[in-house]
Amino acid sequence: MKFSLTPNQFFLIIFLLQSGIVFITFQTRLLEAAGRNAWVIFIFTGVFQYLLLIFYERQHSRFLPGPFVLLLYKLYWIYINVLSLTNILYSLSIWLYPNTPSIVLLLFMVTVSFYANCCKPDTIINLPVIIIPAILLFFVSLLIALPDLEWTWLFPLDLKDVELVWNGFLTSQLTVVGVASFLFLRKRVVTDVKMIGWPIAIYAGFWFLFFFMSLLVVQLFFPIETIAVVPQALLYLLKSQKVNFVERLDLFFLFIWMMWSIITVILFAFLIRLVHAETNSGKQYKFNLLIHAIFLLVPPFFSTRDRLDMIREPLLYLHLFIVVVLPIFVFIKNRRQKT
Amino acid sequence: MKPNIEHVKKLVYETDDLYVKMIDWPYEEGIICYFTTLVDGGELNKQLALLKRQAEAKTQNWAISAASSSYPYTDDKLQNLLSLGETALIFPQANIIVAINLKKEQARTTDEPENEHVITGSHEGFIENKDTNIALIRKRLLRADFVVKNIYTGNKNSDIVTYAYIATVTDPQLVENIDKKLSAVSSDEFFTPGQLIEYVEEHTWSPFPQLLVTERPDRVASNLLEGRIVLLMDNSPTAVIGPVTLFSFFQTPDDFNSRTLVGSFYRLLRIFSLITAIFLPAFYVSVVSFHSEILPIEISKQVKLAINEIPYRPFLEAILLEVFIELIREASMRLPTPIGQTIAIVGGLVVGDAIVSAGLVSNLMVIVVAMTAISSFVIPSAEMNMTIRILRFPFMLGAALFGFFGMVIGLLLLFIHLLNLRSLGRPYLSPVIPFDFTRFKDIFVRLPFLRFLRSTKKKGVRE
Repeated sequence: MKFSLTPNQFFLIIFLLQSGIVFITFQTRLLEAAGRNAWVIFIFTGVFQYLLLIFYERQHSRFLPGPFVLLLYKLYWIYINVLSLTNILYSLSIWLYPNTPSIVLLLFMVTVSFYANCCKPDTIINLPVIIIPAILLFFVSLLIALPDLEWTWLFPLDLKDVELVWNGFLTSQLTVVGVASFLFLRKRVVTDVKMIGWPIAIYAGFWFLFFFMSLLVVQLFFPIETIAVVPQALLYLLKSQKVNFVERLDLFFLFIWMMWSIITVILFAFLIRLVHAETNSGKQYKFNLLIHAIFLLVPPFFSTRDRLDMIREPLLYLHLFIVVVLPIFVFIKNRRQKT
Repeated sequence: MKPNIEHVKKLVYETDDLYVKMIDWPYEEGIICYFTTLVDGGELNKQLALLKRQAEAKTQNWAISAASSSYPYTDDKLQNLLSLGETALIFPQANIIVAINLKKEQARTTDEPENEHVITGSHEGFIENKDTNIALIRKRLLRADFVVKNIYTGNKNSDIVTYAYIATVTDPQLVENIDKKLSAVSSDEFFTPGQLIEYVEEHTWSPFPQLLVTERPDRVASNLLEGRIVLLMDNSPTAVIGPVTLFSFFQTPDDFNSRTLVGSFYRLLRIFSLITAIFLPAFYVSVVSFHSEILPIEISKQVKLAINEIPYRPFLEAILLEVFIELIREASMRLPTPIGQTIAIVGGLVVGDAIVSAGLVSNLMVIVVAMTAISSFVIPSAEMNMTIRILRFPFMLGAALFGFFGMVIGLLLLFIHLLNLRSLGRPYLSPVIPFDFTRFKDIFVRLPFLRFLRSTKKKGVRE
């Protein structure tokens, strides 16, 4: 697969891979796990993400995984895409289409992903641009809720409860899902830009601002005791906002989030194909068809709340393994081989 | 075999408008032949007298003049010259043809293009004569680097397609690319620019035009100055411009004739009209069929009152009205202008009012469809206008099946398709994707002209 990325394209793709699946749900899960400590814990996560990116940047030239490691990454991303599609299906069935068979809705989403993945890589790498206006719109919409926020709900903190903090930190890792793509896409960046310094700092800053702002708004809008009964707190928050021209702001955002997620699915499918192409030469058409068949057939089995929770649980542990343990293993292995 | 009169007649299948006679010439007897329908006989006599004098005076290269040239004789060459409207003077002993180019021009005078009106600015338009059209462009580009190249296309090499560019501005790779594409054309006959476009463009099945068609020499000149290439062909009053982007179709010469702020406002309005022309009916169908809760309660009540008595689903209502509007548009275009206007009034006002009174469609739907139609007519390019009008049907279908979900799926497919498109190898969504800030701002805002010129010194296409 021949393509190159500008630094802007590179960071936009990573941002979408990190945010597409979780940006509407992670607030509830983090607040459930960490209580009022959530915002402080997320600052630690921000630092962790920044250090992780710097670590990746320093070591990426040593990231030369073998076929087995590549297979693990492929399976991990297939799992994420299945999870993401299941999540969309579940949300659509709850909010909008309770009577429509999920396979029908899924067929349309998977067809879009398949079509995009049949196109040239240039098409896919430019696809995230469509989300830029949505990001701005998202920020503006959050600002509407500003007068309703209760700032005293930031405190009291309970950082002495180690288990609570650790659970919170683990849950906040949801926002770092997708960062492993850095290692695969970094070598495609067109110019020999020095990423350490401003580029990574700006990206990490923007990523932090995006998630932190949404977390803060949710934490200050809902009493912490009620958060467990609001699975998609951000949507409920937007539903409660009154604007002149539209009654249900949340519905618009549901569709923006859906578009966001579908593009993320496309990007993950692209990553899977990219990794597959590293060990398999020739045409990728059949492999593309195969992974999309999986995306079409598997999610309907899990699109109930219990099953969705069941496949969602391993994500955090898998994520830490894929994002931290596996790259370190590959770096060390390649360093030894070199010496 | 030496050519003779009978042989020449056979070569053109003994057509009656062939003039062929033996002619006395200083060295040997020649055969003169031409199509009487294509050649100006009076001018030909003058030219023949001039050439004869040169031959008698034993001038070296006597056959070469401003209107004549010589070639070795072959049957194919003779057929080719005759069909291009030239006069052939054949010398069988020397085995040469002297070709005299004195075509009788059948062309109307230049007139304002009917499809591309401007309020201020030039009112000249192209006609069906390519040389006149090139002259109209040259009149606006008084510079030595304006290059015109002719390419003979097809197997018989009888059709000429001309491409023009400004050598110091246009990317040489682009020129090479277009030259290759035109040279590879295998069709023997071209009748319309549409046929030519299909050979040059890269995505024939796309509904989006990838080359800009215009009848305005001022538009061509400004595009040439922006580094584009223009294709021209005889018997067509249109020029084909490329490479273009989606946003090129939303600009008019009036943008540059009006004040900066006014021009910018109308440019933005046109881009907004693109959104309403495609999405408004689909949005309405979605809201009424699936998501009526997004409307504020007061508006929601009005909508419910309006659609309460309508027997059809909103999608059918919309289709009914959209098809009706398309019928009116098509009928008014095909009929003579005064009758066309009458049809538009009768169709739009009388029948439209009757449809609402009969309770077939709601008032709101009439407003939505009328707004959509007006939005689509704001788009300056007729081709893009048609594309946009067709695009709203699949979006309406998606909205009728799944509401906003259907629209989102449609939007993603449309966006992916647009990202795939190239116009002569250049991205169709440029300069938005790939992003180029210096060119990006010119899409939405008509910058002051002096500042605009200063910012575009590098080679390549700009917006």
